[in-house]
Amino acid sequence: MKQRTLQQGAGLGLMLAAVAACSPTVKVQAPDKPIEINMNIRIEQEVRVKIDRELDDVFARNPELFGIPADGSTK
Amino acid sequence: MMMKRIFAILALVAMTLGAGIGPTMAQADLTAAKSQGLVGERPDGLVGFVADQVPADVRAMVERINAERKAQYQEVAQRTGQKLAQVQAVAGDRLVQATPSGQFVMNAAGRWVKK
Repeated sequence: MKQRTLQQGAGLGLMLAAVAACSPTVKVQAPDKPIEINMNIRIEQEVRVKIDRELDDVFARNPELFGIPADGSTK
Repeated sequence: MMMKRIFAILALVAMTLGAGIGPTMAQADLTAAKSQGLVGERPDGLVGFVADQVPADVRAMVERINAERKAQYQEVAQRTGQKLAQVQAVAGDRLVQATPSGQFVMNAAGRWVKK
Protein backbone atom coordinates (compact mmCIF):
# COMPACT_ATOMS: atom_id res chain seq x y z
CA MET A 1 0.00 0.00 0.00
CA LYS A 2 2.73 2.42 1.05
CA GLN A 3 4.87 1.33 -1.91
CA ARG A 4 2.01 1.91 -4.35
CA THR A 5 1.34 5.36 -2.95
CA LEU A 6 5.01 6.22 -3.36
CA GLN A 7 5.07 4.98 -6.96
CA GLN A 8 1.90 6.87 -7.80
CA GLY A 9 3.35 9.96 -6.15
CA ALA A 10 6.55 9.67 -8.18
CA GLY A 11 4.62 9.18 -11.43
CA LEU A 12 2.39 12.14 -10.68
CA GLY A 13 5.43 14.22 -9.76
CA LEU A 14 7.07 13.48 -13.12
CA MET A 15 3.88 14.31 -15.00
CA LEU A 16 3.45 17.54 -13.10
CA ALA A 17 7.08 18.46 -13.67
CA ALA A 18 6.59 17.91 -17.40
CA VAL A 19 3.44 20.04 -17.43
CA ALA A 20 5.11 22.74 -15.37
CA ALA A 21 8.06 22.81 -17.77
CA CYS A 22 5.95 23.80 -20.78
CA SER A 23 3.65 26.30 -19.14
CA PRO A 24 5.07 28.71 -16.58
CA THR A 25 1.60 29.89 -15.56
CA VAL A 26 -1.59 27.91 -15.58
CA LYS A 27 -4.80 29.87 -15.56
CA VAL A 28 -7.41 28.36 -13.34
CA GLN A 29 -10.77 29.33 -14.75
CA ALA A 30 -13.08 30.55 -12.04
CA PRO A 31 -16.39 28.69 -12.31
CA ASP A 32 -19.55 30.74 -12.91
CA LYS A 33 -21.27 29.16 -9.95
CA PRO A 34 -19.59 28.74 -6.57
CA ILE A 35 -18.20 25.28 -6.00
CA GLU A 36 -20.71 23.33 -3.95
CA ILE A 37 -19.06 21.02 -1.50
CA ASN A 38 -21.81 19.26 0.32
CA MET A 39 -20.40 18.43 3.70
CA ASN A 40 -23.62 18.31 5.65
CA ILE A 41 -22.81 14.87 6.94
CA ARG A 42 -24.09 13.71 10.26
CA ILE A 43 -21.25 12.25 12.25
CA GLU A 44 -22.00 10.29 15.41
CA GLN A 45 -19.90 11.34 18.40
CA GLU A 46 -18.43 7.87 18.76
CA VAL A 47 -17.40 7.78 15.10
CA ARG A 48 -15.93 11.26 15.32
CA VAL A 49 -13.72 10.30 18.28
CA LYS A 50 -12.47 7.26 16.40
CA ILE A 51 -11.63 9.27 13.28
CA ASP A 52 -10.13 12.11 15.34
CA ARG A 53 -7.70 9.73 17.01
CA GLU A 54 -6.52 8.35 13.67
CA LEU A 55 -6.22 11.85 12.23
CA ASP A 56 -4.02 12.91 15.16
CA ASP A 57 -1.45 10.38 13.96
CA VAL A 58 -1.85 11.28 10.30
CA PHE A 59 -1.45 15.02 10.96
CA ALA A 60 1.54 14.47 13.23
CA ARG A 61 3.27 12.17 10.74
CA ASN A 62 2.72 14.44 7.72
CA PRO A 63 3.19 18.07 8.81
CA GLU A 64 4.16 19.18 5.29
CA LEU A 65 0.95 17.70 3.89
CA PHE A 66 -1.38 19.51 6.25
CA GLY A 67 0.60 22.68 6.91
CA ILE A 68 0.09 22.58 10.64
CA PRO A 69 2.64 23.05 13.42
CA ALA A 70 4.56 20.02 14.59
CA ASP A 71 2.77 20.00 17.95
CA GLY A 72 -0.34 18.91 16.04
CA SER A 73 -2.75 20.91 18.19
CA THR A 74 -5.59 21.35 15.74
CA LYS A 75 -8.44 20.58 18.11
CA MET B 1 -3.09 64.77 -19.22
CA MET B 2 -3.49 62.05 -21.81
CA MET B 3 0.01 60.73 -21.09
CA LYS B 4 -0.72 60.64 -17.39
CA ARG B 5 -3.82 58.53 -17.97
CA ILE B 6 -1.93 56.10 -20.20
CA PHE B 7 0.76 55.71 -17.56
CA ALA B 8 -1.87 55.09 -14.90
CA ILE B 9 -3.47 52.35 -17.02
CA LEU B 10 -0.08 50.77 -17.75
CA ALA B 11 0.77 50.78 -14.05
CA LEU B 12 -2.56 49.16 -13.24
CA VAL B 13 -2.05 46.44 -15.86
CA ALA B 14 1.43 45.75 -14.53
CA MET B 15 0.12 45.52 -10.98
CA THR B 16 -2.70 43.16 -12.00
CA LEU B 17 -0.30 40.91 -13.89
CA GLY B 18 2.12 40.89 -10.99
CA ALA B 19 -0.59 40.03 -8.48
CA GLY B 20 -2.02 37.33 -10.74
CA ILE B 21 1.18 35.50 -11.42
CA GLY B 22 2.85 36.16 -8.12
CA PRO B 23 6.45 35.46 -7.26
CA THR B 24 7.86 32.36 -8.85
CA MET B 25 9.00 30.08 -6.08
CA ALA B 26 11.60 27.45 -6.84
CA GLN B 27 9.57 25.02 -4.83
CA ALA B 28 6.12 25.97 -3.71
CA ASP B 29 5.44 25.70 -0.01
CA LEU B 30 1.95 25.09 1.32
CA THR B 31 2.29 27.42 4.29
CA ALA B 32 3.63 30.20 2.06
CA ALA B 33 0.90 29.72 -0.55
CA LYS B 34 -1.75 29.86 2.18
CA SER B 35 -0.35 33.00 3.77
CA GLN B 36 -0.20 34.62 0.33
CA GLY B 37 -3.92 33.97 -0.10
CA LEU B 38 -3.42 31.75 -3.15
CA VAL B 39 -4.87 28.61 -1.59
CA GLY B 40 -7.09 27.74 1.35
CA GLU B 41 -8.58 24.86 3.30
CA ARG B 42 -11.87 23.34 2.14
CA PRO B 43 -14.49 21.60 4.32
CA ASP B 44 -13.69 18.29 2.60
CA GLY B 45 -10.18 18.21 4.03
CA LEU B 46 -8.49 19.23 0.79
CA VAL B 47 -6.83 22.44 -0.34
CA GLY B 48 -8.39 24.62 -3.05
CA PHE B 49 -7.42 27.62 -5.14
CA VAL B 50 -8.60 30.95 -3.76
CA ALA B 51 -7.01 33.02 -6.53
CA ASP B 52 -8.10 32.81 -10.18
CA GLN B 53 -4.52 32.60 -11.31
CA VAL B 54 -1.90 30.61 -9.49
CA PRO B 55 1.71 29.91 -10.46
CA ALA B 56 2.22 26.50 -12.05
CA ASP B 57 4.40 25.29 -9.19
CA VAL B 58 1.73 26.14 -6.61
CA ARG B 59 -0.88 24.36 -8.72
CA ALA B 60 1.34 21.29 -9.00
CA MET B 61 1.95 21.35 -5.25
CA VAL B 62 -1.78 21.55 -4.46
CA GLU B 63 -2.54 18.61 -6.75
CA ARG B 64 0.22 16.54 -5.18
CA ILE B 65 -0.90 17.42 -1.65
CA ASN B 66 -4.54 16.63 -2.39
CA ALA B 67 -3.63 13.26 -3.92
CA GLU B 68 -1.53 12.38 -0.87
CA ARG B 69 -4.17 13.65 1.56
CA LYS B 70 -6.84 11.56 -0.18
CA ALA B 71 -4.65 8.47 0.14
CA GLN B 72 -4.23 9.18 3.87
CA TYR B 73 -7.98 9.72 4.36
CA GLN B 74 -8.68 6.50 2.50
CA GLU B 75 -6.38 4.64 4.88
CA VAL B 76 -8.09 6.18 7.92
CA ALA B 77 -11.48 5.20 6.46
CA GLN B 78 -10.28 1.63 6.06
CA ARG B 79 -8.70 1.44 9.52
CA THR B 80 -11.81 2.82 11.24
CA GLY B 81 -14.34 1.14 8.97
CA GLN B 82 -15.98 4.51 8.28
CA LYS B 83 -16.99 6.22 5.08
CA LEU B 84 -14.35 8.30 3.30
CA ALA B 85 -16.71 11.32 3.21
CA GLN B 86 -16.96 11.22 7.01
CA VAL B 87 -13.19 11.11 7.43
CA GLN B 88 -12.87 14.06 5.04
CA ALA B 89 -15.55 16.00 6.91
CA VAL B 90 -13.79 15.55 10.26
CA ALA B 91 -10.40 16.39 8.74
CA GLY B 92 -11.83 19.44 6.97
CA ASP B 93 -13.42 20.67 10.17
CA ARG B 94 -10.14 20.35 12.06
CA LEU B 95 -8.00 21.91 9.32
CA VAL B 96 -10.39 24.85 8.90
CA GLN B 97 -10.33 25.38 12.67
CA ALA B 98 -6.54 25.19 12.71
CA THR B 99 -6.23 27.84 9.99
CA PRO B 100 -4.79 31.06 11.43
CA SER B 101 -6.83 34.24 11.03
CA GLY B 102 -6.06 36.22 7.90
CA GLN B 103 -6.01 33.10 5.73
CA PHE B 104 -8.83 31.79 3.55
CA VAL B 105 -11.16 28.90 4.31
CA MET B 106 -14.14 27.65 2.31
CA ASN B 107 -17.52 27.72 4.01
CA ALA B 108 -20.29 25.15 3.57
CA ALA B 109 -21.78 27.18 0.70
CA GLY B 110 -18.53 26.85 -1.26
CA ARG B 111 -17.42 30.45 -0.81
CA TRP B 112 -13.96 31.54 0.27
CA VAL B 113 -13.99 33.57 3.45
CA LYS B 114 -11.10 35.20 5.28
CA LYS B 115 -10.78 33.95 8.81
